[in-house]
This record gives sequence, C-alpha cells and structure tokens, in this order.
Amino acid sequence: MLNQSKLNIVIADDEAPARNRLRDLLGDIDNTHVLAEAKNGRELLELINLTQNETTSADIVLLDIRMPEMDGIEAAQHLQKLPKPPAIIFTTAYDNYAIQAFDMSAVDYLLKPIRLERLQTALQKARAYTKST
Amino acid sequence: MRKTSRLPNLRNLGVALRILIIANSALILGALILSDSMESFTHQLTGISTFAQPTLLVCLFLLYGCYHLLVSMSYRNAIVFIFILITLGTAIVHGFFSQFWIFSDLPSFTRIVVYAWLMSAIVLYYFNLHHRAYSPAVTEARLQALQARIRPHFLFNSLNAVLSLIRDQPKQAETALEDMADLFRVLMAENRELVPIAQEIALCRQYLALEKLRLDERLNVEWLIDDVPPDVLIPPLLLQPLIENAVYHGIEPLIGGGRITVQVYTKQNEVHLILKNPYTAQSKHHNGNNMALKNIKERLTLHFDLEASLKCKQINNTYEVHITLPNHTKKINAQSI
Repeated sequence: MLNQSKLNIVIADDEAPARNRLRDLLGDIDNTHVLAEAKNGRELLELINLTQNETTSADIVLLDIRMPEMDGIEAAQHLQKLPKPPAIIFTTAYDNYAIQAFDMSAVDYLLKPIRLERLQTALQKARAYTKST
Repeated sequence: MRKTSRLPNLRNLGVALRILIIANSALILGALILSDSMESFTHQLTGISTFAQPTLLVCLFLLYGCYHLLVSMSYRNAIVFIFILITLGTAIVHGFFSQFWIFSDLPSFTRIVVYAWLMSAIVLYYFNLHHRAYSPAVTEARLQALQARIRPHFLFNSLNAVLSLIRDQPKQAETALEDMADLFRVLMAENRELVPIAQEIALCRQYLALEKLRLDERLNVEWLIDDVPPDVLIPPLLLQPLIENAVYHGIEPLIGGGRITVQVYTKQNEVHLILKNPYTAQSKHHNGNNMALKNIKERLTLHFDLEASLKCKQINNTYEVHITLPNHTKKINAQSI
C-alpha cells in the first residue's frame, strides 16, 4: 500500500460501539483517515453535503443498514444522486439485506463483526472505484 | 401443568369449565329433541335444569374433593371410583329434592343415574382423547419445537459491541461475554420445565445489560416489581423474547431512544406481567413480533391451559403486552408432575 493517497472515510452507524470498532480497525490500516461519524442516514447526508465542495471530501462511506430516522439503504439512494458520490461499503450484522444492498451498486458488503483483512480488501476495492470515477 | 396421569386435572378451572359446557350442551340438545316448539323447549330445558344443574355442581364438587385420591389410583380404578362418586352425587341431590319436589313428578332415580353415567362417559371419553392429543410426549415435542430463538441480529451486534470494548475497556468486555454465555446457555438448553420467576428476571437483566452496551442512553428500562414471590413458576424464556421485541421494534427505530417498562405483580391467585414500550409507525415489519407472541401464547396454553392468557394492545404511542398466569410455586409443581 505504498505511495497511496489518504482515503477519507465517513462512518455511519447508530451504535457507538460499532463506530468505535470501525475506528479502531481503521487505525490499524495505513493511509486511512476518519473524516467524520454519523449516527443515522440523515446526519450522514448533512455531513456529506457540507463537505462536498471542500478539498477533503469523503471518498468512502462505511454505512450501516438498520438505523433510526433514515436507514442505510435510503441514505445510499440519496448519495448516488450526488455529482461526486463517495464509494459505499455497507456494514450490517445480518445478511437479509444483501440483495437490496447490491441494487444500490455498493462497492462491498461487510458482515459485522468485521475482520481487519476483510475491511482492507473492501477498502482496496473502493480505492479502485474512486480512481475509476 | 403437564401431568402423567390420564385423568384431567379436576381442580383446573379450564377443565371444570369444559365439563360444564359439555354437560349443558347435552342438556340443550336433549331438550331440543324432546320438544316441538320454542315454548316447550324452554319448558323442557328449565324442567331438566332444575334437577340437572345441582347434580352437576354436586358431582363436580365431589370430584374436586377426591381429586388427590383419584390421582393416586390406576386409571381403571379411578374411572370406577368416578362412577361411584357420580352415583353418590346424584343420590344426594335426588334424596334432597324428593323432600321438597313441588314442580311435577320427580324423575325416577334410575333414569337420572343412567343420564349422569352417560354424561360422565362422554366427558371422560373427551378428556381421554384430549389427553392423547396433549400427551406428555406430544407436549414435549411441541415445546421443543417452540423453543424461543434469538435474533441473529442481536448475536452479531453484541459480539461486535464486545469486540469494540476489548482494547479500551477489557473489564467491561469480560462482563459482557459472561452475560452472553449465561444468556446462550439458557437459549440453547431444552427449556421445557417451568423456572422460578427470579431466574427469568435475572436473565432479562443480563440481556438488557448487553443491549445497553449497544444502545447506551437510548435504552431506558424501568422495573416495577411488587413483592412477587421469587419462586413463582413460569415458562422459561417467557419475558426475554418480549423484551427483545420491545427493544427491536420499540427502541431501535427511535433516534432518541425510549423507555421499556416491565411490571410484575401478584393479584389474588394470579401473576401479572405487563410490558410496555414506545410504539412507532415506522416499525411496520411486525411479523417477527407476531411470531414471538404466537409462540409464547402456545407455550402458555401447553403449560397452563385456560388459566393463563396473553393480551396485546396499542394505546396512543405505547404498545402493551399483558400476561396473566396462575400463581404456582414449587410445592404444587412437585405434586402434579
């Protein structure tokens, strides 16, 4: 992973321990930076909208599916309408959302608890995706 | 409560109620056959009832009184003894009425006794069939099939929460894993015997501690336990799946969280369990909820028959589940199993 630019990541999950866990894991991976955290879909959209025009905009969103107020699926639909959408990686505890998630053309789909290696692979995929767009 | 004896529990309210219904249906049917108009039907029915109802009640009372004796006998002997009791009951009522009978001709004792025997045979046959349908083997199999299953969603989210604690708060992670171990030990056990209510409440507290880890200040729980004897027996995993539903449907969809209230109290010979949680229109996927409720209802019926009930209602923004159980403690349980 040499010579790679820093990936700006936003974590969206309603559960604090789940956000902490992702933050811990990302701390173990080089060239990643947690830009911000959101507690639900609506908060995430506000965050992304705020950072859209700044130099450090989000490259990747780690998006939980079951959240109050606005769930991950709905948030992903909105994100895709943006001129420069971030890569979406869904994170969920149970896989009954997989098909719906694939419809959202997500880069990857991670099952909680997430392994470090699995998260690394997903980030690689996302890096390739952000380069291609 | 499940019994090994083929006799129905003659001290159970549900059983007595069924006997009354069967006997009275037969009376109505008899009156219908004997009459040709509505007027003569009511006349016939009152005629028969004047004698039949007291006989029925006296016989039920005798059976209630001799139930312990009956249970200790073999089924065949118990049947013979029941017929003797019925004869005795009929004789008592007949003897009593023969002194004061003013309506019309007093029916002959033989006729009434034959009727009473016939009725008893029908009732006993019904309970024999009922017993076969709900025999311990069948009941056990059904209880096993009805074992509560925890949501995989909860398992994986909790494991994830524990993982997040390991680096910074290893002590808390230890407690959480211990709680999980206890919870899953119960969930994976063959939960067919009744357990003391204190045990179920302790389990629920452990479960809620795990949920609290994930949901933090979003989850508030209020326990209102009014001097309930801790050894009251309830089916295992009666409360936990309900609380799990309350968390999943009531708390998780709310951004600011909410409060779950668990109320337990005894009233006369009943134990009441009331669970309240916020109701949100968003949580439309109530299928899982209905499954759990149906499961609990069926388990209550298998354990307590008509003596237990489960009711749900939604008042404004609150969803309420109300369970009523007979107040059984260990002593009674030991006798009837």
